[in-house]
Amino acid sequence: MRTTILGPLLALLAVIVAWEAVVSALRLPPQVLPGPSLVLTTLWMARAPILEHSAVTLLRTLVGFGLGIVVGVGLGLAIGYWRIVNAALSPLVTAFYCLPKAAVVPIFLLWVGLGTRPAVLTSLSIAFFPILVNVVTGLSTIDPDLADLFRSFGGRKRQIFWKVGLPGSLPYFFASLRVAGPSALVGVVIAEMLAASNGLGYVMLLAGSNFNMGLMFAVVLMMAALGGLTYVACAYADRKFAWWAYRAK
Amino acid sequence: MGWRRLSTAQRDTIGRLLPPLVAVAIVVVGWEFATQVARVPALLLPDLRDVASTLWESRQSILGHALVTLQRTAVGLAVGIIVGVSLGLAVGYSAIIYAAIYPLLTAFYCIPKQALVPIFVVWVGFGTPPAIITAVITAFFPVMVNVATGVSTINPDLADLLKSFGGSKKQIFLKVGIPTSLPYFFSSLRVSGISALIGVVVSEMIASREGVGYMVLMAGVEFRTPLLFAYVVTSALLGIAIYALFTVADRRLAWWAYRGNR
Amino acid sequence: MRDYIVLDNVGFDYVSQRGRVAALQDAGMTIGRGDSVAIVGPSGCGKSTVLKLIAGLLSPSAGEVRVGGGEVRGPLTNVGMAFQNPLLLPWRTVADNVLLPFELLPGSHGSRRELAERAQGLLEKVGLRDFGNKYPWELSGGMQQRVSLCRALVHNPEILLLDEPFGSLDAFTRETLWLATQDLWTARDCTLVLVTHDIREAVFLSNTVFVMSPRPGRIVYSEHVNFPRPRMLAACYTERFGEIFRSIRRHVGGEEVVDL
Repeated sequence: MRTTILGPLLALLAVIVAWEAVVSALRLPPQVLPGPSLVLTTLWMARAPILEHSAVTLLRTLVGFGLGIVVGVGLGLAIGYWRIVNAALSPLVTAFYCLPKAAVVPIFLLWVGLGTRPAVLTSLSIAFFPILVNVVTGLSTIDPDLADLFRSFGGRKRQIFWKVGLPGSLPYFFASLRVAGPSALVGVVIAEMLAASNGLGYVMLLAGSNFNMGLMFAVVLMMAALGGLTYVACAYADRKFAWWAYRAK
Repeated sequence: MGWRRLSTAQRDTIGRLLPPLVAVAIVVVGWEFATQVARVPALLLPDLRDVASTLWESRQSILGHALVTLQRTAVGLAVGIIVGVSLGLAVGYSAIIYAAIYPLLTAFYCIPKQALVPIFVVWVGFGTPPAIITAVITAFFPVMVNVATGVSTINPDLADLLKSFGGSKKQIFLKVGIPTSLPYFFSSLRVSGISALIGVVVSEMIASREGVGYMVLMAGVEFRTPLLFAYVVTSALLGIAIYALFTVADRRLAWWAYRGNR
Repeated sequence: MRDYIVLDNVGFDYVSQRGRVAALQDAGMTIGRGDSVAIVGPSGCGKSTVLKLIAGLLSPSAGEVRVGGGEVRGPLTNVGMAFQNPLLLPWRTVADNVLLPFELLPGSHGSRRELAERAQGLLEKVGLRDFGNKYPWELSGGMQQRVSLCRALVHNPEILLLDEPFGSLDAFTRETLWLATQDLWTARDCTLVLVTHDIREAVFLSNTVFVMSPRPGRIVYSEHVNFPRPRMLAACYTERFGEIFRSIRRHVGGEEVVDL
């Protein structure tokens, strides 16, 4: 435990130190690269509004992520269980994946207005995909001999699905969360930059129009924190609920 | 009917194409129902034929903007691939570099790259440069991860074997590591390509006056819904083209990795 | 019952992308109730297909498969199977894995405690008394295969079908498991059909050894093994064992082919 924290911590420290050194030595103006001191000062001075906006973004991300899980798992189970659903929907899902979701934000804007709703919609439409893919993959890795074994005991397709398919796909599901979580954040931020009047994405855009680099980097830091939090939470869930898959390897 | 007279291959193809076509047909029918029967306002859902006619009438300008987006994506992807491969090889080769960089990379991964567009705009201005940079930043990551994985997952027994023949670490890397990583590399191209496109589109929506992203935003702001939908469809087609291109390339160039699995 | 399991001129074709491939053709055999038989043959000759036909997991393309006098029309519920891969569910304990058949077979089978005792009894018989609460990855390959055998027998099936169950184990573990299998079979009144490519294994465990030809498979030879039960490993090194072995070996690969 100690060593896994120490390494990254040292690396982070090294980056901060090097960053500050470069900025001071070359006397870079903030417009080119703000030093960590400037960024942290800005973050501190604006901490109240930044925290407020971060909370908004986090909430939207959690909702979008949750809905993405529901849709991803629901569709994944349907596609994995019924072959006809698989045949019909897989090409459509792939086509939806190819569509840049940012381009759909103006449509969401027209449909549901500004603010939280388009952000959640965009978030869910990006996050559900890796979950869907992994659930389907997980369901398809049933050893055919095991399926025969089940049938020889009188098991029906439904039972194989419940007793083998679902538990077997749990590790795949949890592995996909690590990708889906940060993706949900991406969706929210993009929507906030295009169709919101609060949230970190909006602040980013505002800071950009004012050429306020210190604030922009502070926002990036907050986003990294939110994204990192989501990622770590998902990695923890993975280890807690699907531990047996890693041991079995 | 004549079902029995079809060959297995033909039956297979129909079985594969029919369900999605039926699904698409259902969507089309639903759309028509919504616009014609349920009278959903054109502002929310334009008539299907209006979208189609807009696509046709504005095809010149649509193609122009699509080409701009495509060019930016291609350049960004190319640079992203070079960066990704170089970093991936470095990371895969040296366990030290890997250990040092890994935590930074994870942090980098957690930052929504598209949110960095305003920073790029301050650095390099409007239009094409920030679009390309965003594309590079989004595209290099999957390539790097996959190449690094491919290079470093060499069977330890195989490595021992080569060492017993007198092979140096560098030779093992060149003769086995790199070829092993090829299928990983190709499978990452698809994800990279789509990511690059997304990066460009976001950048265009925020900081450009041409390209598909810009037009989507403009059409939305001006409430020109048929045009908006037309451009959304265009962006989807671009994505599908990229996806198809790399799927074919993957199967052609790294066919030997799929030998057993087909 | 002398013709408890009967394959009557059975043919079976596999349909794949490339068309039909005949796995079995005019295959016929008769197995008496309570008997122990083995099927040996070269790779790909259709041995596993025979097992699946008996279990009712596949339907013959030609001919008939009968068990207990009646034609087999679907998966039978009185069989236990084990494969080369132990196929244990990694998220369940050993005991829960053994109890799996009861969750699938229709009808009720007894209280939880009775079933748990039955599973524990079987585990004890194969030397895994204290492993009921462990997970599959905590066991060696041989131990997992023993669990797989217990699972195949926990519901007291009348037929036990083993498809190369010891193929992935080392020679010493295999011999231990031969003895365990013999113990389990002797303690029960079930019919054992073993598919294997190891002739020594076949001769040790069974009373009759059937030899299948290469694809399309049919039975080309059968040999009775009259060693008294219970058999000891030492029997494998006797002159008589060697004769039986050679006699069978000569016929593997087609009609009398190998000159021994």
